[in-house]
Amino acid sequence: MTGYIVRRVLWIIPVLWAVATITFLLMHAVPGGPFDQEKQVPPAVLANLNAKYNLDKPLIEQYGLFFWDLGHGDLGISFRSQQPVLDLIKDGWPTTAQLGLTTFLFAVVFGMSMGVVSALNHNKLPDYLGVFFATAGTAMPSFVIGSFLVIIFSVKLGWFDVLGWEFGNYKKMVLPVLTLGVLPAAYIARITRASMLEILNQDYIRTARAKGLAEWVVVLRHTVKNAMVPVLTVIGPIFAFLVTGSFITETIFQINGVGRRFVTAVSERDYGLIMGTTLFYAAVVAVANLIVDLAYAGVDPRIRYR
Amino acid sequence: MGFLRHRGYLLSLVAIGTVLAFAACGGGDDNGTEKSPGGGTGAAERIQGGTLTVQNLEFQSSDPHYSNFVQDISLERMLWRGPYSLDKDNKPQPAMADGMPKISTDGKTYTVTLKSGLKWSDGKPLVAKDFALAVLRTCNPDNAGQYESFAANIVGCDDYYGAKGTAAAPKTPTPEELEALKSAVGVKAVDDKTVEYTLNSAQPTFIILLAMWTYFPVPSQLLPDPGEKWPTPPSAQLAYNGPYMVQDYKPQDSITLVPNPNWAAPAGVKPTLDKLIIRYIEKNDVADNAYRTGELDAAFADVGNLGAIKTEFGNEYIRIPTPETRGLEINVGKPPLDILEFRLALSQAIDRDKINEVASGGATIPTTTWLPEVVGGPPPDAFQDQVGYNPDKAKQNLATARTKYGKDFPKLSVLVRDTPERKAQAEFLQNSFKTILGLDTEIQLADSPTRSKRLNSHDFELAPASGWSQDYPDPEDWVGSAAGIFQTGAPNNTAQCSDPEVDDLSKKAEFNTNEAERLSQYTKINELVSTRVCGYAVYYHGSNNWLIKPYVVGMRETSTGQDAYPPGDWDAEAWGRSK
Repeated sequence: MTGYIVRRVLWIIPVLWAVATITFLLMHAVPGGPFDQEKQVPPAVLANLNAKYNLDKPLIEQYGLFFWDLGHGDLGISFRSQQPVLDLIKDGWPTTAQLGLTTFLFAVVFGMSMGVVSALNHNKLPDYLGVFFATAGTAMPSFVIGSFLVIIFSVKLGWFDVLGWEFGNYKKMVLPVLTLGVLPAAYIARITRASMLEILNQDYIRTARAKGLAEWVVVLRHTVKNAMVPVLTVIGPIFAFLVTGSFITETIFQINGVGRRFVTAVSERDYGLIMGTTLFYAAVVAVANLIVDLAYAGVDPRIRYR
Repeated sequence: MGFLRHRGYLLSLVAIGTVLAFAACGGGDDNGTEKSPGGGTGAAERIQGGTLTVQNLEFQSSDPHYSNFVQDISLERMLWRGPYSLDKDNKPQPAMADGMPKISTDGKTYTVTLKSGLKWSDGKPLVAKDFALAVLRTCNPDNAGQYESFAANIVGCDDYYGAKGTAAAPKTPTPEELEALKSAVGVKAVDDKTVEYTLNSAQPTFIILLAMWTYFPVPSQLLPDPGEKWPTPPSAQLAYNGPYMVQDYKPQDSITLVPNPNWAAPAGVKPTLDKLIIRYIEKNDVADNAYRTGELDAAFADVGNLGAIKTEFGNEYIRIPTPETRGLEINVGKPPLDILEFRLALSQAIDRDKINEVASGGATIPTTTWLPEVVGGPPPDAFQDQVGYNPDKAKQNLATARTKYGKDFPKLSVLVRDTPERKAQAEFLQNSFKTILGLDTEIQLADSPTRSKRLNSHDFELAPASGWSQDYPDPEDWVGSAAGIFQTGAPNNTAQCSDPEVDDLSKKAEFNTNEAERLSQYTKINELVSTRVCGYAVYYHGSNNWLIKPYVVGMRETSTGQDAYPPGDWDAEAWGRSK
């Protein structure tokens, strides 16, 4: 197991290198640079700006400089804010992570509960409600959900704030979590329901009931646990998706997260920030995937890593 | 299965409880922000204290000697001030200076005496050296100040700024050479209270420039060398000489300002607020919702929803005309767009009232003149007869153009930024050109940097919503060489306009110390470029559309258009709350 983990961690290095290289090439291939703006800067200004950010050097030299700096723990600076990219990520990621983890908890608990309830009440009212939620939740984009929630619960009812995120302050937490969490919750509910229905029809469940086990034991110990493997498969990518930030949710609620910063960086051609945030995302996704793969072994004893 | 059914319902309740648990966790707070009583103009009695929370975009840089964006300058005006400041009529008035500058007889030397007893927010004396350093930072090639043009007429500034050459012709000056170039820049602190600026040519607008952000002083106690990096982001550790200083900054969220106790209020106007919070919100519909809930006291109105906004908010809505002109940019370098009659036909096919209604809900001001009235231009309909909406004249001009061109017109491309408002403009123009002139066009959508890149490399034919917004209030910044929009080969002449008469007048006006003659020359240039459609078929002047709570004072009253972002932000010390 330890050997497996070491190998997987080492594999992250070439993955990050490939991601950085592709991003670097694509970034420079896209028309327009960081200082292309409607009110054109004079040639002398452009020359000094390019020199300031090393953009006057050949592309291969810029590429080399990026990796040299990266090797020294420096992700470069944002061309726009002139702040170190690492500082910007440090500023934004704790908020993104808080929002992501809270949403993840909500999505897992609510989605799985909904899926289990639906399966246990197959073709009955709770099942119909669950299926409706799962369908509507995956069909509605988050900007629509967020806008509705804000209009109803903030503007009309005044229950929650429109702006910002503050961990522990329900007025600033509920709407962003619901906006970001409905889609993953609906997805988890659908997978859980399908998986539960399959397990509930297995012979060993019938046997467990025939042996006179209490229903909660049958449901929790024999059904839910065994239904978790497919759920776990989707939970990994959902976790990575949530903790790397959501541009839409962060924009609707003006949350200081990295998702907002990343999209803005792309539209502004902020090369330093694009490279830094892309690498950061890639690293988070790689680590999240590794954790999920390791979790399989915990849930399914048939899985062994060497 | 009855038990199971009940279990199912029980689990459903557990699941629903999860949601409620989120609603219950944490303490929350209700900051008790006031709700709007509806309507009002903010003319009520001012109170001492309180907090205002105002929307803006987040600054990109807080270095006044590097900055480029309007939101940067907005913040910097709150934190620092130069020797002069613009009043409500956009006339320079002493700020840190003690009276107007002494100008030498040849008009090339400006001597500014500072007020006595000036101090930075940290208590250190604010001296002439700090103002001289501002020029050296702006001209420093390593700082790459984006408004170096404001100091370009100061002796030696261009040489110092261009010391390292360009990508095509790089130079590698030695440290000694750089030091010599720096020393040759025409600014010096004669003594602690006197700054002297030496110009290459007498420049009538130089005193206006002394009110701009590039002349804000440098806290030399913290940054003794002009090459030093400006502390970013601004914090309580930096020193300020403006009405406010930074208390707290949360990236992508807000900046909190508090009054600077050492602010040398030029007209005795000191902040009455305890706190000024600028909230960084990019989307105006989001800001408007926050305004509705009382989380913001002033917000940009969402112009995509302007009709409903006006109905909902009544007098809380305010439209402030801004010194900005936009229109259809026409690449004169690409036939048949080089034919005057073809450009006139395009201009006369644009119904300016309708495009304003369709594309921006009536938020902008239809016009036919490049130079707005607020900076000495004629009224918006001044050139209605020559270039205004007139389908019959448009058809006649197109017929003449066809004869000159000698063949069928090609399908023209319309390059536009991919935003709903800009797309609506492009579609309106496409429809107008087709129905009135029978011309086919193809809309090409692009994001902002791509569009700018193509405009700057003249790789376009037609581009709606192109134009200019003012840097400083003088016609020179609109039609003169300083702006460089209409002069042959000038840096901002993306439309490739070339008119010998314009070039000649520009040269005559640039350093003309006869004020009446200078202004008349710029008026003539405006008439030429507007009526000859020299790169732009203009169709609107801009405006900022705001929602301001009735209890807010000092925003509506001090705004001059130059500083409408937010309203009156160049005099934010006047912002306050009323009873």
